[in-house]
Amino acid sequence: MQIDFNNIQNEKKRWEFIYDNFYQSLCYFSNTVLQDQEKAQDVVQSALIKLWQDKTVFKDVNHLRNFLYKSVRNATINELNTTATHEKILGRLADNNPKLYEQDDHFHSIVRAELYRRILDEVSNLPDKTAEVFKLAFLEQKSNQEIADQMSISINTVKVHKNNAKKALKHTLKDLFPLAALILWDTFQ
Amino acid sequence: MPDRNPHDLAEKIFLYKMDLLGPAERIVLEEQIAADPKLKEIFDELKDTVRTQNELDQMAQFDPKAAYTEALRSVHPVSHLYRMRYGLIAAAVALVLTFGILFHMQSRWGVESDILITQQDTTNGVQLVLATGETVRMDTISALRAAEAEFENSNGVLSVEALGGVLSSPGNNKIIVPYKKKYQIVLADGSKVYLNAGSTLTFPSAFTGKERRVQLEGEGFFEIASMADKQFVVEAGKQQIHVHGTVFNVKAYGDEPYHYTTLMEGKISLRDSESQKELFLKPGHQLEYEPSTGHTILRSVNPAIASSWTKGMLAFDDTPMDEILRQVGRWYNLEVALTDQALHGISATGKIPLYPDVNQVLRKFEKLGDARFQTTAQRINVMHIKNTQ
Repeated sequence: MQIDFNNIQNEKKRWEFIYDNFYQSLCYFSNTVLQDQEKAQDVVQSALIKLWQDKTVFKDVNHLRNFLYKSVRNATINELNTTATHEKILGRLADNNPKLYEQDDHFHSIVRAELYRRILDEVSNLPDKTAEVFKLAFLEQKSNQEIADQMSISINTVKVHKNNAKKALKHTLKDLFPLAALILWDTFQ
Repeated sequence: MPDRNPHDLAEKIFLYKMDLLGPAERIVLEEQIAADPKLKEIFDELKDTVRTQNELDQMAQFDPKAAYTEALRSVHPVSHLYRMRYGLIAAAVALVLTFGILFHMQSRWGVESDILITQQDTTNGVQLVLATGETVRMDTISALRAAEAEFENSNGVLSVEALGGVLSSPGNNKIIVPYKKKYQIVLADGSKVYLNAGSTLTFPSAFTGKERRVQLEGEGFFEIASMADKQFVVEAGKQQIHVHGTVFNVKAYGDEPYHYTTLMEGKISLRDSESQKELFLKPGHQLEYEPSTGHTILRSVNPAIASSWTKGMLAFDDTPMDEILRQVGRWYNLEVALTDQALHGISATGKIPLYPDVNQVLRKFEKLGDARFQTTAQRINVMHIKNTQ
């Protein structure tokens, strides 16, 4: 984390920072347990609003992060128990519902959330236009012509952006995804 | 010392994969991974590009800016207004009033308030109507044995497995996906169908006859398991789609003037139940069908556009605006009304992620071209749209 959380005095700026840096990974984490994106977002949003309203004070980023995950974890378990009770009443809960027994294993879910968030961060660090070209080409497998049309730029500009993305990502992503490197190579010829 | 702080551990895995970790730390991390199978699973997952991409897509779908704005509004409900000058507030109020009144007058006098699509009752969520007549809400079950089949339901996927024994004539079950929802079903033969909002699929517990036959109303993305001796047939309105192990998308809502069948892989043929005409599609082909006239048009398209909804995107390529807006209505369960606006001949090309908030989608349209929308909790009012091309 580049910005020092402690230096942000303004309350709104503080919370904007919290949303920018933690909202996605918290939702992702809650969703790995709930398997329901809408519910996960609701759970995270209400937990964050509550912390905000309570004017919770955080010592530093580590304290903040632990606190956020703990709050979201508890809210997620509550949500899960509500659903489980509902299923139990209906007598339809399978005896070996793994979700209920794996509640202690949130450590690994947090590691995953933090890891993917870190990778996403790296991709979004590319300059805007380059990132857009990269997304269209790499993630959506569009041709140069299609990208040029969609972004209203020339094919040559598309190629320049691709080269920039290639340079920046080669270094970031090559070792991270051996397969991605191949696809990149292929797409950027 | 192995790391028990999840954030630091994630950072180390990231650095390790980028070859930026010092030799001593590498060894510590390798040992920690070797000793922890779950951690190894996470580590190995990164080698699977498709999986990684899916996870990143999922993460990217959560919108921190929108969530922050929503939270700010709920924690500090009025602070925004204080910042505005009183004159501005008065002007804003007047503006809102004018629009409100204009609008009201228009609908009261019945000036061409054309309704494109109406809201649907979605309180029951996704439902399964069994051959036995029993109706089950999908958010209440994880497993069910009924209608001579075993149903397993988790993470938005319903899997059907026929129970042993010979079934002479297994009954038909029906899955109903309301507006605002999507659902996936794995049929008894292993074929997968991804159902879009406002769609119904009728299917048997087991495929015992000479054919495998299902009925679709709405939109579905099909991945059909290949079976040489048993053709798969999708009935969509008056059309019959004959399949030989393939991937394709069918959009056939009862309230749409045109139905589209788009082929991604393999081979399919379509038959019109009235004319009995048979048409063959190749990958990349799309057949447009007009149920009211029976007219068909075969064209080459980018098939990724037709299946974009399965990836949480709204993609369109020279698509009629009314068709796009009806889709938005189904996804967010909102009525869409045209004021004095006609949509004849207006089409759009682009791609928009399905944001949690419909307003974000509409803002994109406004950015895309000359358009203006107004929303209420139940309704999207189309104030103005012009073709910019």
